[in-house]
Amino acid sequence: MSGHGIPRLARWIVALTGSLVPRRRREVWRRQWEADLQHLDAGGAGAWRTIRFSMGSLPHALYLRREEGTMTTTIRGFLEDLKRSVRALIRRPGFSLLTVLTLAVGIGTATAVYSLAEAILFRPLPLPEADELTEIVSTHPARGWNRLGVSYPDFRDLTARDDLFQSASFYQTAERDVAGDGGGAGAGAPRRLTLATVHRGFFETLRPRVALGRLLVEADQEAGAPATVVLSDRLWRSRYGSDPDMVGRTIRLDGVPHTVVGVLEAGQGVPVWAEAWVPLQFGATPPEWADRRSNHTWQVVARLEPGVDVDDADEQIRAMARSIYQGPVEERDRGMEATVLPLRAMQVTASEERLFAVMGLAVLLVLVIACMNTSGLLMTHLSGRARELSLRSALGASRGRLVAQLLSESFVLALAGGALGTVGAVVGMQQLLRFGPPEQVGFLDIRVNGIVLAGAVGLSLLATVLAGLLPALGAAGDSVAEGLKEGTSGSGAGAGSKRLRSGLVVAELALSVMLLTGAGLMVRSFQQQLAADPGFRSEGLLSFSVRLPEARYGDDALVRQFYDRAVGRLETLPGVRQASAASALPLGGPGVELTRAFAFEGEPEPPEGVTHGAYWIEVGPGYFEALGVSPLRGRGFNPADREGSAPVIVVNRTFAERLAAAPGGPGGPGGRRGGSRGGAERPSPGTDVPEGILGRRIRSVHDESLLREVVGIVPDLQRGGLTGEGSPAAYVPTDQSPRRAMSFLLRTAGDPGAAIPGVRAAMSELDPDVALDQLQPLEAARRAELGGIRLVMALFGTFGIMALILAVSGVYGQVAYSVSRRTREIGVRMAVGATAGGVLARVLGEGARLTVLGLTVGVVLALGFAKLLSFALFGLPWLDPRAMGSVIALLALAAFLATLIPARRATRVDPVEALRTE
Amino acid sequence: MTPKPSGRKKLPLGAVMVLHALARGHRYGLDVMDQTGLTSGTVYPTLERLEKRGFARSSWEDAEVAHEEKRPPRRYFEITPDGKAELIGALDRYKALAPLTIDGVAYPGGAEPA
Repeated sequence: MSGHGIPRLARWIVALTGSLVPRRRREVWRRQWEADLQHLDAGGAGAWRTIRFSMGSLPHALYLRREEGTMTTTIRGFLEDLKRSVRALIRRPGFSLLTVLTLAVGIGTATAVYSLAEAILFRPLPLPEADELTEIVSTHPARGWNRLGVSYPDFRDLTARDDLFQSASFYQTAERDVAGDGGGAGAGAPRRLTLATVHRGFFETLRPRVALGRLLVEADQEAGAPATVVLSDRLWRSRYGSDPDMVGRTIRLDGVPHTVVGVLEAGQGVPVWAEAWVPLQFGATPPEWADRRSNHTWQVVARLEPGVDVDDADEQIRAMARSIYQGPVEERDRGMEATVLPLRAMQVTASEERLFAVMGLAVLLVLVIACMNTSGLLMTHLSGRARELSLRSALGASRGRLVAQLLSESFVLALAGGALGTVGAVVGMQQLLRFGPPEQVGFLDIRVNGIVLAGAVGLSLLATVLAGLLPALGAAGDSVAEGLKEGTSGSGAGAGSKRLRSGLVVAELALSVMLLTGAGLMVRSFQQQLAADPGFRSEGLLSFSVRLPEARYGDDALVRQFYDRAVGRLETLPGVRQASAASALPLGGPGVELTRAFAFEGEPEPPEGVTHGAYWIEVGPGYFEALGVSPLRGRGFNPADREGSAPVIVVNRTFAERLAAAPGGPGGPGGRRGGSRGGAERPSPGTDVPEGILGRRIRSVHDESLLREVVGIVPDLQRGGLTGEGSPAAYVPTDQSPRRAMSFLLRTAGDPGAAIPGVRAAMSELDPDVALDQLQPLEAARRAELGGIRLVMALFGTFGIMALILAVSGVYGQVAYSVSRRTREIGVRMAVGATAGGVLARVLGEGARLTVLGLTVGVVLALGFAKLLSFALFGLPWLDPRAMGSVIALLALAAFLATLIPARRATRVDPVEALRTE
Repeated sequence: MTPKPSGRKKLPLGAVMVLHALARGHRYGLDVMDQTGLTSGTVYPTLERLEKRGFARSSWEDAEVAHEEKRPPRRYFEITPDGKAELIGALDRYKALAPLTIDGVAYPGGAEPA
């Protein structure tokens, strides 16, 4: 730090505390500190030491202040002000309550949402020297791939730089079934675990703390070493009842005994959702399959050398990766890049990042609206007190005293709002988390973030103080006579402050149009999702998934046998009408969909970038029947589609249309060319199905070159919880392509939940060690998948409603204020013959002007906001006249009602009374 | 216990340490911090307090010297005769703290008790 000069922060601290020193002694004080700071710097002290040193200036300044006696007077005066402020505010409960609530809403919402975002996106993990921890990911910007894993050769090359990294390792997440054995505390049904298989050096890089036992060491990583496992705190607590003798016990993962060597402390695991860690037993060199440059599957964690900046490391690693991928690599990897990112709890995809950004914006708007509203309320309130302040000023209160008094009122309001907002934030976060999928948020240690809270309170403090300051300076005023005159004339504050208040109301209205439009769009898209026809009857379906361990089911025949027996056994259960299995289920049910590219027999592989890709789903016999789907053309599968029989494939409607138009295809519907789907509406079954592809043979190009005959076309089935409108899919009989991980689908007679105990018992008879994962009605899977959307929708809805309340109270306040200030004027008008209707019209007109202006500006803003939101709308057009129309109508109506109350009050003004009061 | 010349409140240990450092010829805040191991937040107010009670006095370093060394002049403190008397009294009071053997090791290490 020497030679770089004194850290700016230290200078600031000294400058700031210097203002506390009594003026008489300030010069000596300042020179003394300046000299010693310079001396410290010249002596080569580090920045941190210099800053700590400078902190001593505060006690020094406070000492001098106390000695001088200024301290007590100031504090006593301030406390006096506070006391008086609290009393003054209690005397106006309506105003105070409204202001405090407004602030609390803004502070609470902002704190809850930003705390959540911070915990997920920005907070380093609670590991030692966590700011040194990074992850390295592969990207392919040209293809829009971000956050791919890294291949082993890349890992070796990129982390070889020991000037950048102290150490590096990698992991891969995997699933294993933990057997229901163990006795003691570890009993229970087998359960699917998410664990990480980790390379050597993984724990040395992360340095997590253990609660029990030890971490994995070099010896555990040797090929053929006894199988060991480290457990997460959560697993240890939930499954093993926090057994203190856990270390040394054996648990079976996929039937293989593993010795538990350690338990991590809570929150110490990477990735955060892993429940256990097992060593990748590569020995000295990885096996050939793991060592391919194109195999981008490893999640790399790396610890930077102390003092190395993430951005610097990123720049260097990018350059290295670029040079690797400009060399001899597989064609499809060309253009690959790598990047270094700080290690965080969650790796957030680009679209989630955008969602957070939009949400952050919305929250900020709510806070801004709240602050504006508070300012408006304060200004209204203070100008109502103009007369009192003028009087006090005339009686000899100094301008400083009056400003101090008004500021302390603002301060009390902001503080009360902040306190209430904190309570709101705590409650709000609990509510928010309830909407989120528990497996994704459950492990996060989410608390109200102090810094965020301080920021929100600070902002509202600033808003109240500014709002208090402007009128305070005016009121405490240049001209006492002016203030007294204004007071008596009853015309209130001048035209300038009126314009300012009106401006605030217009801005609030505009912002709430924006937020409500956003909320309306989200709600509509959500409803559309729920109402969408999934293509089959989803009620009464029960689903679950199983993974057969490779160790015991290495032979395809055993896998076939297991599924045949399982389906046969399940179908005999009472209440189960039909059972089948598939590699992936629709509606967000369990399973994994793979995408494969296809070509017609005799056609070359499609060029890079042109993919005739489709989801590749293996299904058992009776699958379409269990779903209640009949083929549009051709047939589904039957038990005759077995291993050894002619290879067959069934495609969905969208894929059939793509195939028909593909090179070598028969052309559009019914054999004609140009069969592109038009519009969003689903064509009725049986019309325009490109049946020309029936009987043609296709192959999937990358992994499988077997030719399969297209025997049927089925309707599009909704894939996720959200519409998969137009996703191409291809189905093959599981018997011709067996797979160890499958999902079962059961059509039940009554409540699908009622069949669960029977299913457990039946499957346990077949293999007691195989866990049934996500055993639940298919509708529940869909609801879980929709949970995230519901969360966002709930947020926007809340923001919108809050904005509405704030805006309408703003309109009301403004008009009511204006009416009350003009009581005399209205009285005079009525005395000289104005009718009640005329007065009503005038007041309503004033409200209407504000409303129309606010709504107009709001519509423009809302259009921009909706466009920004469009990516989250699942195909719903962002320009939605109905949503926007209803928002405008709602706001206009609410504003009208808010104006009507003071307007009616105005018509009841008694001219005689009005003239007498002042 | 010796009655103190000033007859006022006894100096706390921190102040005694600062006074002690001044008596040994360490003359400004930073130097005193280094000698005593106390933080700036203790040393600077303590110096003020000592000056106020007449145990120390401060003056500005000769501007020429400072200029030659290319730095602003420092605020130098020195112990007054009153301060010396106070220090002697205080050291007498804290004599009970002086050398001690704990678990067979003499503290402070090095020098044998006189």
